[in-house]
Amino acid sequence: MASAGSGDEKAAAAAMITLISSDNEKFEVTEATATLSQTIRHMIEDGCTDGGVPLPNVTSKILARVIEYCKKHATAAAGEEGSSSSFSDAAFLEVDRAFLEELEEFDDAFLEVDRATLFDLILAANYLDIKGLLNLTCQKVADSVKGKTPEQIREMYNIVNDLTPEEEAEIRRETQWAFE
Amino acid sequence: MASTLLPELVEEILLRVPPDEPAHLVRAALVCKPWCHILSDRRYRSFHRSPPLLDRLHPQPLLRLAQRPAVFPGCDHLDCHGGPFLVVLVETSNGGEDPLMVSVYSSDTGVWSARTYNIDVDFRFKYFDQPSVLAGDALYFTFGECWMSGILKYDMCKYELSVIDMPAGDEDFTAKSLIKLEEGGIGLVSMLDNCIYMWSRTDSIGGWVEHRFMELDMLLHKHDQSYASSVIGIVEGTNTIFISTYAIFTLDLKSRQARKVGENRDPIVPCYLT
Repeated sequence: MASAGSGDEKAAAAAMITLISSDNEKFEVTEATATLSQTIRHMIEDGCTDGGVPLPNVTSKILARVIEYCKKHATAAAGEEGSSSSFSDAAFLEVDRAFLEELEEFDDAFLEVDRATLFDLILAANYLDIKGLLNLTCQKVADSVKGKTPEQIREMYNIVNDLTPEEEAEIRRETQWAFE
Repeated sequence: MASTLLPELVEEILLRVPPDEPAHLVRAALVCKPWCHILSDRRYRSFHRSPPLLDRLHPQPLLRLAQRPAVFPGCDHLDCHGGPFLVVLVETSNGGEDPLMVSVYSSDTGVWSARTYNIDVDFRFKYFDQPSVLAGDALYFTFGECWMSGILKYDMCKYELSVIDMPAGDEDFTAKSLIKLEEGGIGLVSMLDNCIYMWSRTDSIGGWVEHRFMELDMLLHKHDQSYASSVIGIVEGTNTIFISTYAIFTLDLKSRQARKVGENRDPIVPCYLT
């Protein structure tokens, strides 16, 4: 366990951290949940979490979702550590698989949000440096461009086309192979 | 919905566009310049640990023949059909990251010279699809990619290859067309904010001189500003350029006369005199 170096494991696991959203709402989370964020992990390591961790870039609405994600995935991380210390017992593997499936379902449901929320989650994941969440949310947006025309993509994401007609033609010509 | 993303997060997202469907990648690259840049960048490649995909936007090996290359000093080759000629071949490999090499074919001897020259440019090499220009004793090619570009000069008397930087502030301009100046030397024509700009460069001056050439509205009358305008080609050996806006126009740079030559805004390829 990562925090074992500080001494009493039980105390470390039970330690609570207070996160404060931009609209001043307070969220109590376990250290295991909070340290999915590398940003917060570093703050804990530096001992600057007394009195709560202010997160001026994250609203309570988004922070609640982020914490929901972290709780679920912190449990998953703990589960993985548990299973790795056990031998390959068939029953254990079965539990693992069921848990992974559950996690996948959780992620899928988690992503069922409107686009603005999704973008806010990406910003929060980036700011808090939560790799899994950043990956999950960015992948969702990346997948959304599949099968869309450039015009549809621009419309979806309010993008202005700054390619000149000749640059566009050039890209099309040079990538003709991709459509063959 | 005002869903805008910080540029660095756009990169995080586009890195995750799967490389298994090249058509998806190409469509995404056609969205805008930053997207095109990200998807053809090496970071995308290393993220997927995959061989280049859109790197093919930078063809390799890259080669270009000097069109109409009767490259004898003092001859513009527009009228000497069947005469002796040279072909100048500039090539690079590895997606434009290797040094440039030049070899010259002479119709007199019927052989290619060894790859005599190489220079290392500090950015990736890719030709714009524009004709090379023969001015004086040198052949000029424009090259570059989305953000950076330059002009390659091959001096046929000294057999020397050199790079000429674009005029300062050129990144605001898209699609610069190279022209030959009547007074000798080369010029660049481009467009910004519906105004045509021209730069000239002669060996006697040594640097670029900028001229704000003329307003497009004055030229094309009742010009609808909602259309993007750009210079899309030149007629080699003349003062005529092609402009794409709500229609296609030719513009004689000397007489400043414009003529509508097509309704269609589809880009056309550069023209050559026959």
